[in-house]
Amino acid sequence: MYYGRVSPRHLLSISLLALLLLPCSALSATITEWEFSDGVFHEGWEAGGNPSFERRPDGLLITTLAQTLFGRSIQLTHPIEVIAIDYMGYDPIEGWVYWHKPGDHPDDLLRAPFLFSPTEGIGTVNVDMTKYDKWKRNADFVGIGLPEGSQLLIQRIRLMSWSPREKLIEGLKSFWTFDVRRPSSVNFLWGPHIVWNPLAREMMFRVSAPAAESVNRYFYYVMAAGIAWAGLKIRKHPVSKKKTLTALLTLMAVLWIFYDVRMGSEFFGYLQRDYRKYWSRPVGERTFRERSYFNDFAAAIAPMVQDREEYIFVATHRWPFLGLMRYYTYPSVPTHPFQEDRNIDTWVVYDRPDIIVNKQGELESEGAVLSSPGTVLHEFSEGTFIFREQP
Amino acid sequence: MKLLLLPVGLLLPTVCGWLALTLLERDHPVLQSLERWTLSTVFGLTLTMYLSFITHILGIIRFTFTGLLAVQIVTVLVLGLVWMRMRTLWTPSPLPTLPASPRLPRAVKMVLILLMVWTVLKLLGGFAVLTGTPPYEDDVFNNWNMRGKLFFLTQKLSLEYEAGNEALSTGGVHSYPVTVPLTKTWLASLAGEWDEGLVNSVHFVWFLASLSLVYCTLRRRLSRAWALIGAYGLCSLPLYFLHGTVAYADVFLSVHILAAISLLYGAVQSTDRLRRLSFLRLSALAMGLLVFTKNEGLLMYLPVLVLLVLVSLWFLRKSGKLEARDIRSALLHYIVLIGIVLIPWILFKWFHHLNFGNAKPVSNLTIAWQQGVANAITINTFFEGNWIFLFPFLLCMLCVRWKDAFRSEAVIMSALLLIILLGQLPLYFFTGLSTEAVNQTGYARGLVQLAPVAITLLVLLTNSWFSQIQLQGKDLQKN
Repeated sequence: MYYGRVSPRHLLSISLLALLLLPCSALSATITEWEFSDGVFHEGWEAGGNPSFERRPDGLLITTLAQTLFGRSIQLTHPIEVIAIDYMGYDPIEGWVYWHKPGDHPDDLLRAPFLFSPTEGIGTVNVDMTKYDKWKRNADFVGIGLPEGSQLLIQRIRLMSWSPREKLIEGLKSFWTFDVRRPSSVNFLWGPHIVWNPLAREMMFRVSAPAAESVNRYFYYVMAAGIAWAGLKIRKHPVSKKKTLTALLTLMAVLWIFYDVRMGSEFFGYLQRDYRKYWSRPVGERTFRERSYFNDFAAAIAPMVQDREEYIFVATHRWPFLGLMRYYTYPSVPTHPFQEDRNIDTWVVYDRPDIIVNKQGELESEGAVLSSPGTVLHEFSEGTFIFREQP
Repeated sequence: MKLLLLPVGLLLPTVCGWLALTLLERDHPVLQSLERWTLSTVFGLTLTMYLSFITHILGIIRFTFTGLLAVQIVTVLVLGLVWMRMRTLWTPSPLPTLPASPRLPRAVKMVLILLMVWTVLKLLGGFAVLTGTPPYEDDVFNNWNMRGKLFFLTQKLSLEYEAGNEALSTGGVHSYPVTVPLTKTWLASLAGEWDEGLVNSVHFVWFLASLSLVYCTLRRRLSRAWALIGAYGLCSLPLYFLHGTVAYADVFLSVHILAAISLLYGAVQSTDRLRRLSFLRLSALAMGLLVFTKNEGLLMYLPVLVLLVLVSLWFLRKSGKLEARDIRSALLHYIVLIGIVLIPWILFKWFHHLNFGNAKPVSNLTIAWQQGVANAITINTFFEGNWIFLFPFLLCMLCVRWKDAFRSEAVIMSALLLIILLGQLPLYFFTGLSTEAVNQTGYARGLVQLAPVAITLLVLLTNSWFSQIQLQGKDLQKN
């Protein structure tokens, strides 16, 4: 009888071939969904906490007076990896996903928190259930928990999973998915992370820290395997020590270069974004990373306040705008609007559409008068302008 | 094109640096051309900015174009005259020969060329970002560039500024040495205006200097290919590369740390007594200037480097490689060259009640176990994209090649890394400085500052391992 050894190379080829031969139907996500628009209310959904429901053309509006659980029993033939909820809400709501593990006591529900961010129109929150240790990919009950006094319109709920081949492809794509340059990049770069479905990949770098696993772990597995292989080979064939260790060093060098190419490409990704949004566009149209056009605004303001020791500066946030503003306009210095006896006549307003010039020519915000009458020296866009009070 | 003023601005400081180095080498030059010019630029800038600081606080100059230029001209004249005088007395010995660079296989050569092309492309991109984008990171507009602009506008060493919202910025970042902001002031004075691209461009010079210095340090010991691998390795480190392209001072500090340790390493590994002394004098200058870089230079790195110098001198004396008078001469140079910067700077700090810590006072720290530090350090060091595999590889090589790491000249680098890295862990684990690790701020900066030393050591150890493998292979073939 012939006992042939299967070389690692053959094993890899066979595995890749097997993956390619997976049925094409396995490419698409498996979805179980409930649609609540057009006044549809699916049977089986129940609610605890006595919320009020209103069927609307675009979904089911839930208003809660107490903590509420809106859920249903399920019997699925596929695992659940992501729970996607299409919804509309005006305020941020800290919700929970509830589930019941088959076999547990009926009252023993598990839950995980997530956030319904405010939306303009219908938005989607994708809860990646695989990141929760307690989640075992299946449940016989799922539900959404809402806190007291919240209002949310739910349009659609989907329970989703993906085929092994699609997961593999998404895993490879996520390795090559780049973060964007942020102020925190000067302290750390997340580097390549890996997730196994397209929705998680889309969200991967939008939250801090990434909702994904560091790829470094897999590199370390490869290195450990390489070291183990080298150790075994040298033990069996001491003569091949030089060749084996050279191969091991080459493997480490290849992994290093591969990682460098990945991170270097991310750097070129930053560069490309800066080119597309900043360098290639004229002043007035260009934006710079998450700071939009603030830098151009501050640079343009600087000459207009140079004859003032101080000016009032209001923006959406103090950081980083106050420091940047000071840097651009120094020695003229920004200060806050709560001045009593000090006569500071110049107002620099950035991205505050709530601040308007009223009929009397004063600055006003939500009915409160902020300044004496004056004139707008230059308006950059709605809510972004420089204003000077009349002497 | 304001950027063209950068080489103009570097000219006189570089000449000052060149003269200082040449005078310290005396008639036993040890620096190859590339290393000499690299160190001339780095040391020249720090030296002239230090002298400008001293003349300013003595009331001799203001931080104007004329004032800063005058300091540089006088320094060049004084050093130049001494050099011209000494040149007639000295008969310079030839430079040490470099290790041979064997012909590389075609495939290896191709890989190296591709890596160099890739690196050059990244460097060009980095230069574009550094000089062509607006201020972005906090310390750019709150510290380094802000203080440079402050000196430029007020023409004096202001230790506070109106921070906005009626707050006054005092202490904190004002306790840092002024080399980086004052270099920006000098470049702005040259241009006659505050030009963001120009004042940032000098950071790229320090970044290139760090790559060059890794190359030169390795080249003294290894072939050209291995030295290139070291320079490539440093540039490939994503967080170090990013720091090379922002107006922060950690790369600037890292060059000074590498220079100090590299020159001491040169002294310990040198086979010639007089060259050894040249290296020691140069390392004394490097350590003196290290004081005037960042607060960490004085507080963290200088004490460890002084300890390493003392141990090295003791070892060199004990092994008969230096005579007693050599030790006395070397110690005198260290005392004078460190003291000449250290004493005025400490007196200035003390007089103005400036912090000694890294923008935070190191006194009044309470001791208590801090949660989350170990996790944050592990993630930053091993599981993010900051360092590729520098630290796991280095740890492995320190174990595999422990004799080379701890019982050869490379022990200087191993000791510096381990003392600093392990020494700062208690601060993170037991004091309020833990936020620097948990938020991944100060901890990562520390690694940026040590990255050139770490990569140099990694390449040295890997090379020794690789060479041993090759030798063993040959032996086995013979048998």
